[in-house]
Amino acid sequence: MYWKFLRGGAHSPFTGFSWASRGGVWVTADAAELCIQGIHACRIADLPYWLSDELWEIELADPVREGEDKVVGSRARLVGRVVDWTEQMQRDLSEGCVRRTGLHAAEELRASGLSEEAAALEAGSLAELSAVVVAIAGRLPGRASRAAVKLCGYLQDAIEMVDVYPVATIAYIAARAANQRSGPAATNYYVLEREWQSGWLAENLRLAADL
Amino acid sequence: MNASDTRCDVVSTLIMSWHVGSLREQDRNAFEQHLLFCPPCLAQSDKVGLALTALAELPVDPPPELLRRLAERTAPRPRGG
Repeated sequence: MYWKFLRGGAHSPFTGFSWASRGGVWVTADAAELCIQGIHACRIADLPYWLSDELWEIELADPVREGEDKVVGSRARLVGRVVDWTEQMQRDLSEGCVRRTGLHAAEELRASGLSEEAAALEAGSLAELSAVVVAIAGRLPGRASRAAVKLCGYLQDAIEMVDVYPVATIAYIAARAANQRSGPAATNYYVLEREWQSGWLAENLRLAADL
Repeated sequence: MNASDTRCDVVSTLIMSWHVGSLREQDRNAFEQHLLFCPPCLAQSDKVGLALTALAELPVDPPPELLRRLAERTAPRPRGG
């Protein structure tokens, strides 16, 4: 079993193809409305890259081509909607991503010897965090590493956007922010953050990784 | 184009190419992921899609001049500071 994010009303995010009108029957990729490449779907690890309004379980007929962050088949059918992927759940993930951005910022602040500022970022509620990060950002020049300064900037962005932008935006900011971390050059913090997000989704939506 | 580092001005130039299916797989992937986290670019792509659908329903082929102007309107514009 795979998963597929759709926009509201079970529409494909980019083509607008209406899956709802097909009522769970097998759909072939050569239908004019679908991507010429095939029907895209996600493994659990792929989910954070394709976040959207609705999440569905989808069955793909063999052969299924495995891509870097998606799978592609020529025939598919929707099996059922993941009802736990609600607006509240999307909000929870958004807030989790803001928190993660704050944690990355805090760890870089701590590495710069700014333990008090780091603790303040970790302790505040989300509502308080905006004022905290603004106050901290004003004290950073000349004291904090470049990574710490950039991460505080990403945190400010995430806080400002969390009420108005979709979860896909906040998750992307968190992954981009993670990528600013100092550390071994070979470590791909962007991918690691996406892995944290897919773990969050699997746990909170109780998705079974049977593939 | 890398999916983790796409910019709106670059994505904007690719909208027509995406709709006619001429993007390479890696670019298509990055383009589509960008649309999901960038509502303004998604809205722009939706508008182009609607325009192309309307053109396809015309009883005659659209004149090349009209397609050229549509492509121009989806190209990135300089932003004021």
